[in-house]
Amino acid sequence: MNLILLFLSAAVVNNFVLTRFLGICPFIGVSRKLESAISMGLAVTFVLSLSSAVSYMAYTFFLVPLNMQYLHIIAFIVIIAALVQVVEMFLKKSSPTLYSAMGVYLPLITTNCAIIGAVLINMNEGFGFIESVVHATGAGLGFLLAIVIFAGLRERIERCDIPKAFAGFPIALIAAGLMSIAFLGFAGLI
Amino acid sequence: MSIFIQVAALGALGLVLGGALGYVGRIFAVKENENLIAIREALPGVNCGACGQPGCDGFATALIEGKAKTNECPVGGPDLSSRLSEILGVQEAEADKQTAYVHCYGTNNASKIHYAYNGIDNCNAAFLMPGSGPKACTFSCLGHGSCAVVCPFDAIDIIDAIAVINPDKCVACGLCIPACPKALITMVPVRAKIRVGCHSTDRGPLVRANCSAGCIACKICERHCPHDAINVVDNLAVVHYDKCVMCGICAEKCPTGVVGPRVENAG
Repeated sequence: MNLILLFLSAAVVNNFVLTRFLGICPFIGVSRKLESAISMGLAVTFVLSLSSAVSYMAYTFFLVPLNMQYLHIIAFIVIIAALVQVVEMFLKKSSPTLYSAMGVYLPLITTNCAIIGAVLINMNEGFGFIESVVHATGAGLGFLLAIVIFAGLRERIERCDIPKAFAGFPIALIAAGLMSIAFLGFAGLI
Repeated sequence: MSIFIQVAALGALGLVLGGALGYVGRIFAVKENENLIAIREALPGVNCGACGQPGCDGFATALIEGKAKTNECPVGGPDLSSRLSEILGVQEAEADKQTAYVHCYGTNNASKIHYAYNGIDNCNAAFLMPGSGPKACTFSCLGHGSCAVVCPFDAIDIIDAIAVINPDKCVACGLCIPACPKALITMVPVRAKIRVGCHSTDRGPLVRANCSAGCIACKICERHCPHDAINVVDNLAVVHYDKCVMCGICAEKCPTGVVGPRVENAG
Protein backbone atom coordinates (compact mmCIF):
# COMPACT_ATOMS: atom_id res chain seq x y z
CA MET A 1 0.00 0.00 0.00
CA ASN A 2 2.81 2.35 0.91
CA LEU A 3 4.51 1.70 -2.38
CA ILE A 4 1.36 2.50 -4.34
CA LEU A 5 1.01 5.73 -2.43
CA LEU A 6 4.65 6.54 -3.08
CA PHE A 7 4.16 5.84 -6.77
CA LEU A 8 1.03 8.01 -7.02
CA SER A 9 2.65 10.77 -5.05
CA ALA A 10 5.64 10.93 -7.39
CA ALA A 11 3.56 10.63 -10.54
CA VAL A 12 0.67 12.97 -9.84
CA VAL A 13 0.67 14.82 -6.54
CA ASN A 14 4.30 15.84 -6.57
CA ASN A 15 4.58 15.72 -10.33
CA PHE A 16 8.18 16.43 -11.23
CA VAL A 17 7.46 18.95 -13.93
CA LEU A 18 4.33 20.67 -12.77
CA THR A 19 4.81 20.70 -9.00
CA ARG A 20 8.53 20.39 -8.38
CA PHE A 21 9.51 22.25 -11.57
CA LEU A 22 12.24 19.79 -12.49
CA GLY A 23 13.03 18.85 -16.07
CA ILE A 24 11.42 21.94 -17.56
CA CYS A 25 13.91 22.11 -20.40
CA PRO A 26 12.81 18.96 -22.28
CA PHE A 27 9.23 19.65 -21.20
CA ILE A 28 9.25 22.90 -23.18
CA GLY A 29 11.78 21.89 -25.82
CA VAL A 30 10.49 18.51 -26.95
CA SER A 31 6.74 19.03 -26.62
CA ARG A 32 6.03 20.44 -30.04
CA LYS A 33 4.97 17.09 -31.48
CA LEU A 34 3.07 14.37 -29.69
CA GLU A 35 5.23 11.59 -31.13
CA SER A 36 8.57 12.97 -30.01
CA ALA A 37 7.03 13.89 -26.65
CA ILE A 38 6.08 10.24 -26.11
CA SER A 39 9.58 9.00 -26.99
CA MET A 40 11.13 11.60 -24.72
CA GLY A 41 8.81 10.65 -21.86
CA LEU A 42 9.57 6.96 -22.27
CA ALA A 43 13.31 7.60 -22.45
CA VAL A 44 13.18 9.70 -19.28
CA THR A 45 11.16 7.05 -17.45
CA PHE A 46 13.62 4.36 -18.45
CA VAL A 47 16.72 6.31 -17.47
CA LEU A 48 15.12 7.48 -14.22
CA SER A 49 14.36 4.00 -12.94
CA LEU A 50 17.72 2.64 -14.03
CA SER A 51 19.76 5.49 -12.61
CA SER A 52 17.92 5.51 -9.29
CA ALA A 53 18.70 1.82 -8.86
CA VAL A 54 22.36 2.25 -9.75
CA SER A 55 22.84 5.38 -7.67
CA TYR A 56 21.21 3.75 -4.67
CA MET A 57 23.78 1.00 -4.85
CA ALA A 58 26.61 3.43 -5.46
CA TYR A 59 25.51 5.46 -2.45
CA THR A 60 25.11 2.56 -0.04
CA PHE A 61 28.05 0.44 -1.10
CA PHE A 62 30.54 3.05 -2.27
CA LEU A 63 29.94 6.50 -0.80
CA VAL A 64 28.78 5.59 2.71
CA PRO A 65 31.57 3.10 3.55
CA LEU A 66 34.20 5.61 2.45
CA ASN A 67 32.45 8.33 4.45
CA MET A 68 32.22 10.61 1.42
CA GLN A 69 28.50 11.32 1.24
CA TYR A 70 29.27 15.00 0.70
CA LEU A 71 30.62 14.13 -2.73
CA HIS A 72 27.36 12.49 -3.77
CA ILE A 73 26.40 15.04 -6.44
CA ILE A 74 29.66 14.63 -8.35
CA ALA A 75 29.54 10.86 -8.07
CA PHE A 76 25.90 10.71 -9.21
CA ILE A 77 26.48 12.93 -12.21
CA VAL A 78 29.42 10.85 -13.37
CA ILE A 79 27.56 7.57 -12.84
CA ILE A 80 24.39 8.74 -14.60
CA ALA A 81 26.33 10.11 -17.56
CA ALA A 82 28.27 6.88 -17.98
CA LEU A 83 25.11 4.82 -17.57
CA VAL A 84 23.26 6.72 -20.27
CA GLN A 85 26.22 6.33 -22.60
CA VAL A 86 26.23 2.59 -22.09
CA VAL A 87 22.48 2.39 -22.67
CA GLU A 88 22.89 4.42 -25.83
CA MET A 89 25.63 2.18 -27.21
CA PHE A 90 23.63 -0.92 -26.28
CA LEU A 91 20.56 0.40 -28.06
CA LYS A 92 22.57 1.40 -31.11
CA LYS A 93 23.83 -2.14 -31.41
CA SER A 94 20.78 -4.15 -30.40
CA SER A 95 17.87 -2.09 -31.65
CA PRO A 96 18.65 0.55 -34.28
CA THR A 97 14.96 1.33 -34.67
CA LEU A 98 14.52 2.23 -31.03
CA TYR A 99 17.85 4.07 -31.17
CA SER A 100 16.75 6.27 -34.06
CA ALA A 101 13.32 6.77 -32.48
CA MET A 102 14.89 8.11 -29.29
CA GLY A 103 17.52 9.89 -31.32
CA VAL A 104 19.15 12.82 -29.67
CA TYR A 105 16.88 12.67 -26.62
CA LEU A 106 18.73 9.85 -24.95
CA PRO A 107 22.06 11.67 -24.54
CA LEU A 108 20.15 14.85 -23.71
CA ILE A 109 18.67 13.13 -20.67
CA THR A 110 22.14 12.87 -19.16
CA THR A 111 21.93 16.48 -18.13
CA ASN A 112 18.23 16.50 -17.33
CA CYS A 113 17.75 17.85 -13.82
CA ALA A 114 14.76 15.55 -13.23
CA ILE A 115 17.14 12.58 -13.10
CA ILE A 116 19.59 13.98 -10.58
CA GLY A 117 16.61 15.52 -8.72
CA ALA A 118 14.93 12.14 -8.30
CA VAL A 119 18.18 10.56 -7.15
CA LEU A 120 18.78 13.30 -4.60
CA ILE A 121 15.21 13.12 -3.30
CA ASN A 122 15.58 9.36 -2.89
CA MET A 123 18.69 9.95 -0.85
CA ASN A 124 17.32 12.75 1.31
CA GLU A 125 14.14 10.84 2.11
CA GLY A 126 16.19 7.78 3.03
CA PHE A 127 14.33 5.48 0.64
CA GLY A 128 15.37 1.84 0.38
CA PHE A 129 16.20 0.16 -2.89
CA ILE A 130 12.65 -0.82 -3.90
CA GLU A 131 11.21 2.46 -2.69
CA SER A 132 13.82 4.36 -4.70
CA VAL A 133 13.01 2.52 -7.91
CA VAL A 134 9.23 2.84 -7.41
CA HIS A 135 9.56 6.52 -6.64
CA ALA A 136 11.75 7.14 -9.69
CA THR A 137 9.49 5.13 -12.01
CA GLY A 138 6.49 7.06 -10.73
CA ALA A 139 8.35 10.30 -11.32
CA GLY A 140 9.19 9.21 -14.87
CA LEU A 141 5.63 8.22 -15.68
CA GLY A 142 4.48 11.54 -14.19
CA PHE A 143 6.86 13.27 -16.55
CA LEU A 144 5.50 11.21 -19.43
CA LEU A 145 1.92 12.11 -18.48
CA ALA A 146 2.72 15.81 -18.21
CA ILE A 147 4.69 16.05 -21.45
CA VAL A 148 2.11 14.07 -23.44
CA ILE A 149 -0.78 16.22 -22.23
CA PHE A 150 1.27 19.33 -22.88
CA ALA A 151 2.26 18.23 -26.39
CA GLY A 152 -1.40 17.57 -27.20
CA LEU A 153 -2.28 21.05 -25.95
CA ARG A 154 0.48 22.64 -27.98
CA GLU A 155 -0.53 20.83 -31.15
CA ARG A 156 -4.00 22.29 -30.77
CA ILE A 157 -2.76 25.73 -29.78
CA GLU A 158 -0.65 25.80 -32.95
CA ARG A 159 -3.80 25.86 -35.05
CA CYS A 160 -5.44 28.67 -33.10
CA ASP A 161 -5.42 32.32 -33.98
CA ILE A 162 -3.10 33.63 -31.29
CA PRO A 163 -2.18 37.32 -30.95
CA LYS A 164 1.26 37.87 -32.42
CA ALA A 165 2.83 38.85 -29.11
CA PHE A 166 1.83 35.51 -27.58
CA ALA A 167 2.51 33.19 -30.49
CA GLY A 168 5.06 30.43 -29.97
CA PHE A 169 6.78 30.08 -26.62
CA PRO A 170 4.82 32.68 -24.62
CA ILE A 171 1.51 30.90 -25.11
CA ALA A 172 3.20 27.56 -24.40
CA LEU A 173 4.52 28.90 -21.10
CA ILE A 174 1.07 30.23 -20.21
CA ALA A 175 -0.44 26.83 -21.00
CA ALA A 176 2.21 25.13 -18.87
CA GLY A 177 1.38 27.47 -16.00
CA LEU A 178 -2.33 26.69 -16.26
CA MET A 179 -1.54 22.97 -16.35
CA SER A 180 0.55 23.36 -13.24
CA ILE A 181 -2.38 25.04 -11.47
CA ALA A 182 -4.66 22.22 -12.62
CA PHE A 183 -2.28 19.65 -11.14
CA LEU A 184 -2.53 21.46 -7.79
CA GLY A 185 -6.00 19.91 -7.67
CA PHE A 186 -4.36 16.57 -6.90
CA ALA A 187 -2.83 18.01 -3.71
CA GLY A 188 -5.58 16.61 -1.46
CA LEU A 189 -5.43 13.12 -2.99
CA ILE A 190 -3.06 11.65 -0.47
CA MET B 1 44.10 11.64 5.74
CA SER B 2 40.66 10.48 4.75
CA ILE B 3 40.43 13.22 2.18
CA PHE B 4 43.19 11.58 0.16
CA ILE B 5 41.37 8.27 0.21
CA GLN B 6 38.20 10.01 -0.92
CA VAL B 7 39.94 11.88 -3.72
CA ALA B 8 41.55 8.66 -4.84
CA ALA B 9 38.23 6.84 -4.63
CA LEU B 10 36.48 9.45 -6.78
CA GLY B 11 39.34 9.40 -9.26
CA ALA B 12 39.18 5.63 -9.36
CA LEU B 13 35.41 5.80 -9.96
CA GLY B 14 36.02 8.07 -12.95
CA LEU B 15 38.79 5.84 -14.27
CA VAL B 16 36.77 2.66 -13.89
CA LEU B 17 33.71 4.20 -15.55
CA GLY B 18 35.85 5.62 -18.35
CA GLY B 19 37.55 2.30 -18.92
CA ALA B 20 34.23 0.46 -18.82
CA LEU B 21 32.78 2.90 -21.35
CA GLY B 22 35.72 2.37 -23.66
CA TYR B 23 35.39 -1.39 -23.32
CA VAL B 24 31.63 -1.38 -23.86
CA GLY B 25 32.12 0.95 -26.80
CA ARG B 26 34.36 -1.64 -28.40
CA ILE B 27 31.93 -4.50 -27.74
CA PHE B 28 28.98 -2.59 -29.09
CA ALA B 29 30.84 -1.00 -31.98
CA VAL B 30 28.49 -0.67 -34.89
CA LYS B 31 29.86 -1.14 -38.35
CA GLU B 32 29.16 2.00 -40.28
CA ASN B 33 27.68 1.96 -43.71
CA GLU B 34 30.55 1.65 -46.22
CA ASN B 35 28.95 4.21 -48.48
CA LEU B 36 28.83 6.65 -45.62
CA ILE B 37 32.58 6.37 -45.11
CA ALA B 38 33.28 6.73 -48.84
CA ILE B 39 31.01 9.74 -49.11
CA ARG B 40 32.50 11.34 -46.03
CA GLU B 41 35.92 11.07 -47.63
CA ALA B 42 34.71 12.47 -50.94
CA LEU B 43 33.05 15.50 -49.37
CA PRO B 44 35.10 18.66 -48.83
CA GLY B 45 34.76 18.38 -45.05
CA VAL B 46 34.55 22.10 -44.41
CA ASN B 47 31.15 21.80 -42.69
CA CYS B 48 30.02 25.13 -44.11
CA GLY B 49 26.35 24.12 -44.17
CA ALA B 50 25.72 25.57 -47.63
CA CYS B 51 23.84 22.40 -48.63
CA GLY B 52 21.29 23.07 -45.90
CA GLN B 53 22.30 20.00 -43.89
CA PRO B 54 24.05 20.03 -40.51
CA GLY B 55 27.60 19.70 -41.82
CA CYS B 56 29.19 17.25 -44.22
CA ASP B 57 28.20 14.21 -42.15
CA GLY B 58 24.59 15.36 -42.15
CA PHE B 59 24.74 15.73 -45.92
CA ALA B 60 26.24 12.24 -46.28
CA THR B 61 23.45 10.72 -44.17
CA ALA B 62 20.81 12.63 -46.11
CA LEU B 63 22.34 11.42 -49.38
CA ILE B 64 22.17 7.79 -48.29
CA GLU B 65 18.59 8.21 -47.10
CA GLY B 66 17.72 9.75 -50.43
CA LYS B 67 16.76 13.05 -48.84
CA ALA B 68 19.41 15.06 -50.65
CA LYS B 69 20.60 15.27 -54.23
CA THR B 70 24.21 14.77 -55.29
CA ASN B 71 24.47 18.30 -56.69
CA GLU B 72 23.49 20.03 -53.48
CA CYS B 73 27.04 20.55 -52.29
CA PRO B 74 28.03 23.88 -53.87
CA VAL B 75 31.59 23.59 -52.62
CA GLY B 76 32.36 20.42 -54.56
CA GLY B 77 30.51 21.46 -57.70
CA PRO B 78 29.93 19.15 -60.66
CA ASP B 79 33.08 17.08 -60.04
CA LEU B 80 31.87 16.06 -56.61
CA SER B 81 28.38 15.48 -57.91
CA SER B 82 29.57 12.89 -60.43
CA ARG B 83 31.86 11.33 -57.83
CA LEU B 84 28.98 11.01 -55.36
CA SER B 85 26.66 9.51 -57.92
CA GLU B 86 29.38 6.96 -58.70
CA ILE B 87 29.54 5.94 -55.06
CA LEU B 88 25.78 5.80 -54.70
CA GLY B 89 25.18 4.30 -58.12
CA VAL B 90 22.48 6.79 -59.00
CA GLN B 91 21.87 9.15 -61.88
CA GLU B 92 23.81 12.33 -61.47
CA ALA B 93 21.69 15.36 -60.76
CA GLU B 94 22.66 18.14 -63.11
CA ALA B 95 24.79 20.75 -61.44
CA ASP B 96 25.14 24.32 -62.55
CA LYS B 97 28.12 25.70 -60.71
CA GLN B 98 27.38 28.99 -59.08
CA THR B 99 29.51 31.81 -57.85
CA ALA B 100 28.86 34.73 -55.58
CA TYR B 101 28.73 38.11 -57.27
CA VAL B 102 28.81 41.65 -55.88
CA HIS B 103 26.31 43.84 -57.69
CA CYS B 104 28.21 47.09 -57.59
CA TYR B 105 30.80 48.74 -59.83
CA GLY B 106 30.81 51.96 -57.81
CA THR B 107 34.53 52.28 -57.19
CA ASN B 108 36.02 55.40 -55.71
CA ASN B 109 36.46 56.78 -59.25
CA ALA B 110 32.93 56.01 -60.37
CA SER B 111 30.96 56.93 -57.31
CA LYS B 112 30.69 60.32 -55.69
CA ILE B 113 31.82 60.40 -52.09
CA HIS B 114 30.00 62.64 -49.64
CA TYR B 115 32.44 62.57 -46.75
CA ALA B 116 35.55 60.82 -45.48
CA TYR B 117 34.79 57.93 -43.15
CA ASN B 118 37.52 57.20 -40.63
CA GLY B 119 35.57 54.97 -38.27
CA ILE B 120 35.74 51.26 -37.59
CA ASP B 121 36.92 49.30 -40.62
CA ASN B 122 33.74 47.28 -40.91
CA CYS B 123 30.80 47.53 -43.31
CA ASN B 124 28.18 47.26 -40.58
CA ALA B 125 29.72 50.20 -38.74
CA ALA B 126 30.02 52.29 -41.91
CA PHE B 127 26.44 51.36 -42.82
CA LEU B 128 25.21 53.17 -39.69
CA MET B 129 26.59 56.49 -40.93
CA PRO B 130 24.27 59.06 -42.57
CA GLY B 131 23.29 58.02 -46.08
CA SER B 132 24.23 54.39 -45.33
CA GLY B 133 27.92 55.14 -45.68
CA PRO B 134 30.22 57.72 -47.21
CA LYS B 135 29.42 57.03 -50.87
CA ALA B 136 26.66 59.11 -52.43
CA CYS B 137 24.70 56.07 -53.60
CA THR B 138 22.94 54.40 -50.71
CA PHE B 139 23.12 51.03 -52.50
CA SER B 140 26.86 51.05 -53.11
CA CYS B 141 29.46 48.62 -51.83
CA LEU B 142 31.10 50.11 -48.74
CA GLY B 143 34.39 48.38 -49.43
CA HIS B 144 35.30 47.58 -45.83
CA GLY B 145 35.34 43.89 -46.57
CA SER B 146 32.91 42.42 -44.04
CA CYS B 147 32.21 39.81 -46.70
CA ALA B 148 35.92 39.09 -47.15
CA VAL B 149 36.27 38.49 -43.40
CA VAL B 150 33.61 35.77 -43.36
CA CYS B 151 34.81 34.08 -46.56
CA PRO B 152 36.53 30.84 -45.52
CA PHE B 153 38.06 30.41 -48.97
CA ASP B 154 39.80 33.77 -49.29
CA ALA B 155 37.87 34.42 -52.48
CA ILE B 156 36.95 38.07 -51.88
CA ASP B 157 39.37 40.94 -52.42
CA ILE B 158 38.74 44.63 -51.89
CA ILE B 159 39.89 46.38 -55.05
CA ASP B 160 39.49 50.12 -55.31
CA ALA B 161 36.93 50.21 -52.45
CA ILE B 162 34.78 47.50 -54.02
CA ALA B 163 34.49 43.87 -53.01
CA VAL B 164 35.46 41.63 -55.92
CA ILE B 165 34.79 37.90 -55.94
CA ASN B 166 37.45 35.66 -57.43
CA PRO B 167 35.35 33.10 -59.33
CA ASP B 168 38.21 30.59 -59.30
CA LYS B 169 38.29 30.49 -55.54
CA CYS B 170 34.58 31.01 -54.84
CA VAL B 171 32.75 27.79 -53.99
CA ALA B 172 29.29 29.38 -53.63
CA CYS B 173 28.91 28.53 -49.96
CA GLY B 174 26.85 31.70 -49.57
CA LEU B 175 28.37 32.79 -46.26
CA CYS B 176 29.10 36.27 -47.64
CA ILE B 177 25.47 36.93 -48.60
CA PRO B 178 24.18 37.70 -45.09
CA ALA B 179 27.45 39.49 -44.21
CA CYS B 180 26.71 42.39 -46.58
CA PRO B 181 24.58 45.03 -44.85
CA LYS B 182 23.44 46.26 -48.27
CA ALA B 183 22.52 42.81 -49.60
CA LEU B 184 24.67 43.33 -52.70
CA ILE B 185 25.82 39.74 -53.08
CA THR B 186 23.80 37.11 -54.90
CA MET B 187 24.55 33.77 -56.50
CA VAL B 188 24.87 33.72 -60.28
CA PRO B 189 25.86 30.85 -62.58
CA VAL B 190 29.58 30.83 -63.33
CA ARG B 191 28.83 30.50 -67.04
CA ALA B 192 26.73 33.68 -66.97
CA LYS B 193 28.82 36.40 -68.56
CA ILE B 194 26.01 38.94 -68.54
CA ARG B 195 25.76 40.45 -65.09
CA VAL B 196 24.32 43.66 -63.76
CA GLY B 197 26.88 45.50 -61.66
CA CYS B 198 24.42 47.69 -59.83
CA HIS B 199 21.87 47.19 -57.13
CA SER B 200 20.34 50.65 -57.00
CA THR B 201 16.58 51.01 -57.21
CA ASP B 202 16.87 54.79 -57.23
CA ARG B 203 15.42 56.59 -60.24
CA GLY B 204 17.69 57.15 -63.23
CA PRO B 205 18.63 60.82 -62.76
CA LEU B 206 19.57 60.28 -59.14
CA VAL B 207 21.72 57.28 -60.03
CA ARG B 208 23.42 59.27 -62.78
CA ALA B 209 24.16 62.10 -60.32
CA ASN B 210 25.65 59.75 -57.75
CA CYS B 211 27.67 57.27 -59.79
CA SER B 212 28.96 56.87 -63.32
CA ALA B 213 28.63 53.08 -63.21
CA GLY B 214 25.04 52.69 -62.12
CA CYS B 215 21.92 51.30 -63.77
CA ILE B 216 19.87 54.29 -64.80
CA ALA B 217 16.81 52.22 -65.74
CA CYS B 218 16.86 53.45 -69.36
CA LYS B 219 15.45 50.08 -70.54
CA ILE B 220 17.70 50.04 -73.60
CA CYS B 221 18.83 46.51 -72.69
CA GLU B 222 15.25 45.37 -72.28
CA ARG B 223 14.28 46.72 -75.69
CA HIS B 224 17.25 45.22 -77.51
CA CYS B 225 17.21 41.78 -75.96
CA PRO B 226 15.96 39.28 -78.58
CA HIS B 227 15.16 36.66 -75.96
CA ASP B 228 13.27 38.72 -73.37
CA ALA B 229 15.95 37.74 -70.89
CA ILE B 230 16.63 41.09 -69.27
CA ASN B 231 14.01 43.28 -67.64
CA VAL B 232 14.06 46.51 -65.73
CA VAL B 233 12.24 45.90 -62.47
CA ASP B 234 11.99 48.66 -59.91
CA ASN B 235 14.54 50.85 -61.76
CA LEU B 236 17.08 48.05 -61.95
CA ALA B 237 17.98 45.69 -64.79
CA VAL B 238 17.57 42.02 -63.89
CA VAL B 239 18.89 39.12 -66.02
CA HIS B 240 16.89 35.88 -66.25
CA TYR B 241 19.54 33.21 -66.66
CA ASP B 242 17.05 30.57 -67.75
CA LYS B 243 16.40 32.60 -70.94
CA CYS B 244 19.72 34.39 -71.46
CA VAL B 245 21.89 32.99 -74.25
CA MET B 246 24.82 35.35 -73.57
CA CYS B 247 24.58 37.04 -76.98
CA GLY B 248 25.99 40.22 -75.45
CA ILE B 249 23.70 42.69 -77.23
CA CYS B 250 22.58 44.25 -73.94
CA ALA B 251 26.18 44.75 -72.89
CA GLU B 252 26.99 46.51 -76.16
CA LYS B 253 24.02 48.83 -75.88
CA CYS B 254 24.23 49.67 -72.19
CA PRO B 255 25.10 53.41 -71.98
CA THR B 256 26.76 53.20 -68.58
CA GLY B 257 28.42 49.86 -69.14
CA VAL B 258 26.86 48.40 -66.05
CA VAL B 259 25.37 45.44 -67.88
CA GLY B 260 28.28 43.54 -69.20
CA PRO B 261 30.51 40.58 -69.65
CA ARG B 262 32.92 41.81 -67.06
CA VAL B 263 33.59 39.50 -64.20
CA GLU B 264 36.18 41.91 -62.87
CA ASN B 265 34.90 45.30 -61.88
CA ALA B 266 35.72 48.25 -64.07
CA GLY B 267 36.57 51.73 -62.90
